Amino acid sequence: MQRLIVQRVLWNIPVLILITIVTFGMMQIVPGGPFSGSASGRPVPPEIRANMEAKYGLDKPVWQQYLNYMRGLVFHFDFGPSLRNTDRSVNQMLFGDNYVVNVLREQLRATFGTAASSMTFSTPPHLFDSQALVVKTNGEVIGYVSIGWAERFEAVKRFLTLAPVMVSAQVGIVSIGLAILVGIPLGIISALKQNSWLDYIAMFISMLGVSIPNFLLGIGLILLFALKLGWLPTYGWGDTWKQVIMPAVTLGTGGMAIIARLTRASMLEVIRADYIRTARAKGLAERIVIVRHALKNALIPVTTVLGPMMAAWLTGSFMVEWVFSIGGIGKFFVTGVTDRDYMLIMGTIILYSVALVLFNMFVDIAYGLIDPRIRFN
Amino acid sequence: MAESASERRRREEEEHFAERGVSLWQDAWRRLLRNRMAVAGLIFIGILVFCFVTADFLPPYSYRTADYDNTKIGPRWPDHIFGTDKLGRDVFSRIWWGTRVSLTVAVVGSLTSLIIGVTYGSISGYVGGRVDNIMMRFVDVMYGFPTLLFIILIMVVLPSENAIQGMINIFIAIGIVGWMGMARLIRGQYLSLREKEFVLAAQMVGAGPARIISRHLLPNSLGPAIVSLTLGIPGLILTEATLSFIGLGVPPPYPSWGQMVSEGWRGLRAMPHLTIFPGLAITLTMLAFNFLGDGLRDALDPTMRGTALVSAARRRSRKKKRAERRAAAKAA
Repeated sequence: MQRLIVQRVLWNIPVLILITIVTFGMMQIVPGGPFSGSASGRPVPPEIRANMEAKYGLDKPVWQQYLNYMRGLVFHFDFGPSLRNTDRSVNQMLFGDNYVVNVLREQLRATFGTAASSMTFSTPPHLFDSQALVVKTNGEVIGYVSIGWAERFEAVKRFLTLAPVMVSAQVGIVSIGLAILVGIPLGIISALKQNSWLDYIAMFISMLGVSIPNFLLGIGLILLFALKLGWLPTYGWGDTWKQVIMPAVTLGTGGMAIIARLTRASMLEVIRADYIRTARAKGLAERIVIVRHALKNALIPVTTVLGPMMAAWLTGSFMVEWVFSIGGIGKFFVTGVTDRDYMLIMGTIILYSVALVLFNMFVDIAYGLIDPRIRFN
Repeated sequence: MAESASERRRREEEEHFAERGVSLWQDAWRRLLRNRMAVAGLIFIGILVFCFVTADFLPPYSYRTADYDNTKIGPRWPDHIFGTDKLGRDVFSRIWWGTRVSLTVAVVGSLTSLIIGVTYGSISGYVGGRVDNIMMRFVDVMYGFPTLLFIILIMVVLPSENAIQGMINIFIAIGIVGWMGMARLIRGQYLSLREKEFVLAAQMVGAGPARIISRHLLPNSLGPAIVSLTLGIPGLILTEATLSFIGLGVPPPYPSWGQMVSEGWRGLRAMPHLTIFPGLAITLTMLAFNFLGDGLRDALDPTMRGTALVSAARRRSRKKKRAERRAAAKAA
């Protein structure tokens, strides 16, 4: 078992490296670059473009660009500057602002009032610094502020609630939870009551769930619950619990339907197996037969789809974030490519593939735990 | 001319077997026809094909005729039964024309993924060993890309001279994403078929790899491949609708259902018909292909039987049996 885990972890490293290389190579093939047109649509003079490319190191050979990028990423966790949003780094776009700075700035404002607006930090403080040096913008030293556990806690809290990557993850977690909690019981019930009206209704609902594109479902929900009935807000995330419902249902329905259909299919297969008959024959209660004997085996195919599903959902759904105006990272998957923002593309791809690789690994390990045949092979 | 006794016996025998002999495909077809939902899906797809063929001359309006006197009107009998959009274009005619986009993406996308997937999977599955290992690891890596991003990248790379070619490029890009699943499936099939006796026999009589693949391995993998292809079509249609919805798909003025939804949903409150009708078209088409795919899987793969919705016929016979049993019990 341990060997399996170690093997799985090690195997991820070449996969990730290969993904970054292929992405980097693909960006070279794509015609047009980040500086081929300005935001106003006017063509950029070639001299300016050359200067811009030199500034971001795009004039160097590709392999050197790649190595520079990877060096920054591996040693400093630096995803580089955004090529289109020139005042922001990819780190800021994905992981939000430096929330330690935010918290400390608020403290300065509380003590110094409006004078605090002309103050900055000599170096941006990190989470585990014990103090930060405050200076005026002209260089005059003001003094140290200490960073205690209260500030750290506040900064972490803000990261978890406000950072774009976390907002996307929240939407994803709620949707996954919904999909599992509704999908699995739905599948079990319709397998146990095969060909009853309950089964037909459940399977028709999940067929609909597979067939409705999620943007249509989102628009339909908005039309019904926000515009016609006025029960739920049309957009936003994180202010009230009411904002959670529609995005979660929109994103979760497709997965719920897939999970329900898979659970039903594998449950039907398992329930006819000999060991279930044995379990019943030795007089076990029906509940125990179903939950402990049948379900455990029936869930193996379900776990398989959960890996990619979680990776895709936790890194943000472009559709749901667009339809409900949620400030997650899903939109960068599209805007990165349309803007030719190479750094942003790399950032999003790396985030997604790390998530994918991790969740697939969890799934593999979960297999080992559920199924001894895999563990000992 | 009178036939001899032996001749007659032989003729009868032939007739007998001709009657009884049902090929795999005939059997599958019969089973498919018993599945009511699959037949409904098939009929709906037939209607779509009809719309596809007649889109140039049968709809009341062209997809691009703007009628500025009748903009943004709701459904109105009999001239604009689905209403008109902000340019006064007839929504019904545009949905009719939109079948072209959806069905073309289904065909072109499937063909693309089929060609790439079968070629790749055949090599990987037939050669096996280290080659297979490396090729499959590559598929693993390709799975690591977010689909949408990958499609957009391919779309930008493929050259396009005009709007039509641009559209075809979109469809090919959508299909390319699907090849990995097909490659895995074909390879898996080959790995198990390769060990079968009939392949050994073919090798014994001196058949080369090309013949073994084309005459033995591929035909025997066809069933699962068709099922996977049909079940993949809703995904292709969905991807096209999604791309068009976010403005990266079929360029205006060619109407695609996703693009119509995208144009309509900003004015959702005032003109819901601009969203609802194309939305319904997408959903019904997806439902039709999903039901057909499910039905095909049940029909072609007997081991999966009973896992999807049973046919109405079987349900009726079961009901009848139950009633008979009840009647018998009462009589006793």
